Amino acid sequence: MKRFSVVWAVMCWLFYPVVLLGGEGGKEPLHHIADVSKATNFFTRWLAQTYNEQRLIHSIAGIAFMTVMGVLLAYLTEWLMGLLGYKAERMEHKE
Amino acid sequence: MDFFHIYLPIAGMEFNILILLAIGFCLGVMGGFFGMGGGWIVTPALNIFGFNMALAIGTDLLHIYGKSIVAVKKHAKLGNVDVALGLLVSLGMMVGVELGARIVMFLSAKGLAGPIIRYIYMGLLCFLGLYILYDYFSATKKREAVKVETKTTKAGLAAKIQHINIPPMIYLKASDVKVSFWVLAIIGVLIGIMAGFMGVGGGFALVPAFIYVVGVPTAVAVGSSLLCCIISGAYGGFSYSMKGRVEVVAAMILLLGACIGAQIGASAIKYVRGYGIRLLYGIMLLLAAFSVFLRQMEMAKIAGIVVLGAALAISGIITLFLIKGLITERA
Repeated sequence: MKRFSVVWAVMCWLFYPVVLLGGEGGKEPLHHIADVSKATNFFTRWLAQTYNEQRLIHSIAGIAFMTVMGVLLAYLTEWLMGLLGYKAERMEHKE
Repeated sequence: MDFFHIYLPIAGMEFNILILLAIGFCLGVMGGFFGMGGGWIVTPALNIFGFNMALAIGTDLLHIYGKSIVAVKKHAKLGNVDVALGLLVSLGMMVGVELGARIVMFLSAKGLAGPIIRYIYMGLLCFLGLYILYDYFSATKKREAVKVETKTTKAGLAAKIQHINIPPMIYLKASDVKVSFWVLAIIGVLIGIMAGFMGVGGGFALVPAFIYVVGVPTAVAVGSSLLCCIISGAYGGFSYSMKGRVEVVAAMILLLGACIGAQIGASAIKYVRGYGIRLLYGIMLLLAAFSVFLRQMEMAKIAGIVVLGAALAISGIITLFLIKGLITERA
């Protein structure tokens, strides 16, 4: 543990010069506008539009999409692995 | 190959779906196999392939949210989730994630987010890679001795922490531990800052903190840390999205790849014996650090080849072990 405390201490001190080493990168605009015209399908166009005009709706929709996708994939992968005869909860780590 | 290119409206760029799927897949295989989320690979990888740093972090956090839902479902079934512990630590984590996100946005406005976070990632990946290599090369006997020694020290630490009597005291039923709310809040804030600043789930810090600082059993620590990742990932994704730094389409594709990979990684555990695969993982992390360095030196193409090549190589080896094991088992 003592050795790792030393490693961490050295790393913390390294991060100071890192800030100086980093220098000025390309500054980016904080308020970015999505280019709706380049969107190739309804979904990306809708995302770009809500991003530009209704950020709150865009953010809630993003979380909602991931929730639905996460839940669906959780059931789907479990079902598929069950078909193949795999139950993760029955597996043992052999290392 | 235009067929595989998709326009990402928030990133404002054309992106190859196969690259996103490959990043997600490798992440899933490694996560499923080694039991680590691997969020520390996604942010630098997305940055190497052209996302600006804040966008890479926001997208990573949203994808971590989706991935944690899939993982927590399995752990909940096994009774490994201490809901009270997860919810209380998440309160602190949300504060931390917001702080981390604000630091990133501040640095972004100054044009410093990319280089600073890249250097920090280089340090973190090198540290993790070297630690794994050190662990691999240490003699088994010595390792066991160290384990016993640290176990005693850390159990003592958890006992001391549980004696801190600052109200409100919380009884965690699933873990059978009584601890001050403030201990959980501080753990949450500190790990949350790291999660929000670097775009990681924080599982690799939460699990040891739960075990050694709070005194939670290992299985419950893993399940509860995933619950924290769901809440902090959702909050981080939402917060970065409100700041305009989340590419939802990319997060969805990453999640798809990760779910496929995670099943392969988790199944391969059954067939891969020995400690050797950890050596490859350590080398992979060092290569990832090197690729971040190359990106910092404006050699993005070579950096992309190095990071994706290394991740695909180790995921490929694990997949091959699985296929070989399946063939042997069915023969």
